[in-house]
Amino acid sequence: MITFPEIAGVEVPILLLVFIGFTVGIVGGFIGVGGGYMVTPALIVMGFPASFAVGTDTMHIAGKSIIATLRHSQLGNVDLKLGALMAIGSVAGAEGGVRLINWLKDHGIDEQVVLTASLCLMATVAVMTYLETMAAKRQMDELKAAGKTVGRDMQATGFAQKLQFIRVRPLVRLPTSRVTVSVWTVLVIGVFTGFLSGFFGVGGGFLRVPAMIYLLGVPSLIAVGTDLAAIIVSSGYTAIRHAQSGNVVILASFIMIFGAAIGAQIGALATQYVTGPAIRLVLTVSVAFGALGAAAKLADVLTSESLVILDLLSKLVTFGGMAILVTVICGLVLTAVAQRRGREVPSWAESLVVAG
Amino acid sequence: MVVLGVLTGLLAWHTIYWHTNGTQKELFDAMGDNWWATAKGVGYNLGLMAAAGMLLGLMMERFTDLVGYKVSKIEHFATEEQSEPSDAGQEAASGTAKGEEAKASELVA
Repeated sequence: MITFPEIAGVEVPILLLVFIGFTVGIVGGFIGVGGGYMVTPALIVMGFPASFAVGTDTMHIAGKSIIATLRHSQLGNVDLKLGALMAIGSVAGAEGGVRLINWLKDHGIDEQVVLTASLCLMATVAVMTYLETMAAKRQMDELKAAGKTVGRDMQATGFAQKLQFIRVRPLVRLPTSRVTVSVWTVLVIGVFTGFLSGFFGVGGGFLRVPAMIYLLGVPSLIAVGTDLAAIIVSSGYTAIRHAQSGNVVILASFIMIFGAAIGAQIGALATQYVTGPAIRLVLTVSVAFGALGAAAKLADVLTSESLVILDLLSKLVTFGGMAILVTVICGLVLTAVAQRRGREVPSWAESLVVAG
Repeated sequence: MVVLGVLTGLLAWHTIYWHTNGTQKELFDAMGDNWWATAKGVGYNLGLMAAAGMLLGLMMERFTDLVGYKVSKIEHFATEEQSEPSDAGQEAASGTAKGEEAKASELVA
């Protein structure tokens, strides 16, 4: 057990902090998100005041993203030019989002509105990503059945191609992603996703990854690595803001990063074994859990009293969600390994894993 | 690997030492008093995490090399010509995009 002088009266098992870092490292390294919507509730459950939970988590995410980005870079999953542009847009947008939410709070906006909007956004992202992923998976299955060569990724929407025809100069060529697009398109997407993340108080990875995939046409694996690179900057900026406000328990962040160091390796290396739709499927599950968490929080706000069942539900969603995501990722890797060893795998999993 | 391990160990020792002797709490309490104290506190927090991230990340890379796990670049595209992930129905659009891409490459550094 360890105590923190910054927050008197809170006693936390060191191993639990390492374990949280480890599990969120796996998930974050695999789908390219910071995992704030998992760590923050977990820290709150352990007794951290909400502001300290957010600040400590943001600081840990900034460090963890460096670890995951180094590994993704080795795997060729990082498009630095795109990451830099997205980071610039995201930081500017996040600042705008934070200012707007503060202004609205000053003018008496109800917390329910923000929570409802957050829930709707996450649910929409989850449903749309799920439907598209299933359609892409079906197309890959059909192409494979017809004996055609299928790459690691495929998208069932043509929206990205349409956006690439917007040729407002200057244009930027992204050789890693094999995309040429107007700088303004990338910046607008960065600002928009950053704005939403600032407004809703989340890291924004769950918005940026689908945005890069569906709006820019970036392969899912590159979107994951690139988003982690962008998170170093955007999360670093948010961490500075939280540190200024005295919301960071640095020792807790430091302990978590040791677990994250191992978890992020597993998550990043696991991307070698899967296709784009598999990444998007895990992202869908992850965002769905985020939506469930927001729903539990909203129910708590609406009832305006602490109900035991809601408290239990939020714990179940937080820890159950982490466990399910890690299980799914490990399951996909084990399936790929089994296929590489010549064993038969279920037909539904064939287009989700890479045979080697 | 040994150097990285030693540096990570030193960083961990420093963090625990400053935690137990109260230096971290002093930095934390001083934040907001004046700009220098705030900058010191913020810089320390961010520097510590950046150093930990870099050291652990590099150490993990060396570790996988050491145990013989081969990490190679992922082939994201099925063919050299494939421009971006697209389905069969988008081949035409993709072809046009490539023409545009050639033009664009001249425009942008």
